[in-house]
Amino acid sequence: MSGKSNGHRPTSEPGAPPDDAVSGAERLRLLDARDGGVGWRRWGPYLSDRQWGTVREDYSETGAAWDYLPHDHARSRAYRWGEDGLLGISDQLGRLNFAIALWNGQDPILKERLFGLTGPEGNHGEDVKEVYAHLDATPTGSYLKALYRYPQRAFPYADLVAENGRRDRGAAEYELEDTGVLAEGRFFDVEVEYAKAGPEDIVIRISATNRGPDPAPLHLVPTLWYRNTWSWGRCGARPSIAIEGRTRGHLTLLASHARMGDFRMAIEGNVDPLFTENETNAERLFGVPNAGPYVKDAFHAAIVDGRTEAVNPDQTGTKAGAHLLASIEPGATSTVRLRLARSLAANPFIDVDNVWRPGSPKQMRSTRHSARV
Amino acid sequence: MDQARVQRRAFAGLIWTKQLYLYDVAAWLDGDSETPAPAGRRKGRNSGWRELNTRDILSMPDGWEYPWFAAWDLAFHMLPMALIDPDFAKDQLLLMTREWYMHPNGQLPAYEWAFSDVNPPVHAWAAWRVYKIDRRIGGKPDRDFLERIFHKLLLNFNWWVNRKDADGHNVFQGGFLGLDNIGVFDRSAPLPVPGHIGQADGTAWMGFYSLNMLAIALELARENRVYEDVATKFFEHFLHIAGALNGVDVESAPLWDHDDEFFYDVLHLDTGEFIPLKVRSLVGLMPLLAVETLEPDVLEQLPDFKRRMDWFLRNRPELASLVASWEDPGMGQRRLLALVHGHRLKALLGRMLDPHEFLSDHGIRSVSAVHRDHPFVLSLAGQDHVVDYEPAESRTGAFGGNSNWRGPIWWPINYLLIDALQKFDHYYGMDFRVPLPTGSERLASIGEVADDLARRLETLFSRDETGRRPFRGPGIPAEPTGSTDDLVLFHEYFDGDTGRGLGASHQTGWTALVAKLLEQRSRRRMSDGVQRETLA
Repeated sequence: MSGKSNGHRPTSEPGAPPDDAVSGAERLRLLDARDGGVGWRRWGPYLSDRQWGTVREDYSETGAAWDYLPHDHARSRAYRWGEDGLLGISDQLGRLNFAIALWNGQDPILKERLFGLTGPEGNHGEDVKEVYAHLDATPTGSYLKALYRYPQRAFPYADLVAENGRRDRGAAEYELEDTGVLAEGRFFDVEVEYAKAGPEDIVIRISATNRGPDPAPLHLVPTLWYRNTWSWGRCGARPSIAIEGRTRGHLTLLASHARMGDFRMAIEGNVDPLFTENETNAERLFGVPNAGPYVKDAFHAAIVDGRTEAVNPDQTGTKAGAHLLASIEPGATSTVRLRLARSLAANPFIDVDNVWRPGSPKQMRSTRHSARV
Repeated sequence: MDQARVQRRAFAGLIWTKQLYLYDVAAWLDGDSETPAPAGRRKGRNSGWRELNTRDILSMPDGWEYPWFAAWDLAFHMLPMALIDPDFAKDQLLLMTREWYMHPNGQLPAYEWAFSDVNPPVHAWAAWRVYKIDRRIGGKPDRDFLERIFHKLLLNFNWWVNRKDADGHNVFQGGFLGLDNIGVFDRSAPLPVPGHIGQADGTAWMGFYSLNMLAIALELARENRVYEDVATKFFEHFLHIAGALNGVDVESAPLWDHDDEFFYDVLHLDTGEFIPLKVRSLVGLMPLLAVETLEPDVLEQLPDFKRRMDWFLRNRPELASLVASWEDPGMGQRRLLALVHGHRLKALLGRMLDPHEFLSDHGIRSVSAVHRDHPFVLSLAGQDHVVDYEPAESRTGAFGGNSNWRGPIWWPINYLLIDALQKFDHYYGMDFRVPLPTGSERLASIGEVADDLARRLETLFSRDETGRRPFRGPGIPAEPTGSTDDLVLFHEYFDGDTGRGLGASHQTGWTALVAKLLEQRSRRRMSDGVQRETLA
């Protein structure tokens, strides 16, 4: 089997002898990566869960990293040294990133990243206040699967901060489960899976299951964006993402970067594309005018605040999203598929069932996402 | 099957927690066109690390809580990683020693909050273990890897020797050494009185480091005699440290307390007074970690090493006597090098395996439960300094109050203890038996103790007879397969009483070491009836 081979298998059932801990196909990929120079490691789960509140992003006088760039600023401020997102991936230099964003129609903000308390906020220091889990992965990232549990009720941001702030060090930490927001199963289990059809050919499947008793709406925004390397003198040329084509079945984005070359991303269904720039919203954060009209938090502004003028009507930018809205019945699962690759066939989804194991994604789909109109 | 699920989730977390780490410290210190650096920055955080300039995929401790590398955590991550991706494991270990990470003076960077902090020297141990795992899985030894990393570790070893031995007596400091609030004071901060602390763990770690370097040098010397004399160097260095730890050097205060039969840190006041800090914590168990066995064929192959060794032992009888077991070939004519043996080994194991002290249902506690009712109090300069047993989260603000080493169970040290016990077992075999648990009639070999410890740790995640996963905490009812219960999480540390998961909740990370323990158990099951070997 060559490095171009299709198909993947997650690791064999663990507990087996170590020689079988990694299956045959993945073993070949590892050998191809080491001995054949095949770029199976070029893409992976390299996107951080949190870039805000880190030392690297801290340009304060006092070194108070948590306070300098808190969660509330993260959606509006372009980072320097990395990106973050929900269950996302990137190339090995973190130039082009992919992750999902969610909105339940209740929250004050678009859910683009995991929420947690800073060191000073938590009664035992910093602590993530979310439910998520890593379900499966192969060493080269040829298969990755993780779950994020998103409440249908409003995410209790303020309650989590306030109640943990009231508690002293002797008390238990106040977790998302303790807020009651997940009661009665009123949440979506959002599973994200990545499967490589080739070193730089990644099929993505996002499945949202309503675990609650009532139908519930879910906005899903698969997002593709470039880390900002251009506005602070590191690397001059600004990359761009734009629409390459649209058919009845899918939308294709073209992402162009001077050094990386071109990538395409196809999104299944009749989606509503959004574009902005990965630039700081200085107006919101510092009260000074923005250099350009389109800034990092535009998708939040358009979807949550209804400010559609925040996204670029020319449909180009360094950050692109595909807005999908579904009303999901109790127990039902809504699925969308995407494919990210250097080049795509006319129908990029025709052969993807070969990439998956086991079964067909079609069997898992009970409702379809439709475009927001 | 459930164990298979736990292991698979641990591997999944380990892989998902890889992350791009970009940090050009010089550019960050100097600021840029858009964000100039504030004035204080050039002398502030990480200003001594301008050479650090990274853009690598690294294995992080926890993608949210610790989205930055921590050198000693990373070393532990690479053991389970080596089972599924040995190339990545070797590259990660080498990376930490490359010029864009390691300081020109030989120090390994700790983590971005303060690269100059000092973590335990586990890098050589991890390199040696990963080398052996890779050899077993891949079928051939990667000597280039071992040789490359050994050269860099020589620089790092010397950094330790020259920077962290205040008196030049082979009694080491090192500050907090990764164990946050375990000590009476913040061990990284200036003391409230003039003096310094002779640290049992600092000294034990250096004994451990010397033996890891000895093992690597001997392996390299088998095919390249050039490494024979550097093996001798680490052999002798180990004995000097063993001498210091055991108080052979009359000028330093002994760390072993004859009444309590335990190792304690000792406060050296500038007045010349010594005050033992009688906290029963992992600090006192750490000397157990420094153990290595030598195979007879090694000595036959390396006559120069053997000649010098014999000379040294003949001419330094006071040091030779510390490793008296040396004279008694054990199982299969193996030789034992260890900081403790015989009586002291039994005394330490007695405390470690006592349910009223260190032994919990789910592993070894970081502080003995004896301090629950009997806190250690030191009155110094008009102030009381207290250490008590705190099984769950920290009740003090030391080190941000985010982590707690005053009672909970931590994987890295538990794993190292199991690893060390297996080496002792390798030497002693079935003849050396201790009560398990302490106070019971049951006698167990050290190998059986290691097995028992591994099982206790594994049970944090596996469903118990009622279907519960103990890490979820007491009082949480079991849920059926496919429910939240199967979202197995890997916490940073675990309640010393109940096993409830605490701290960071996705620390795969060193808690992924459970995947390595489960692999060992599975391999051991398969080789039942075959003569036991030390498992790579």
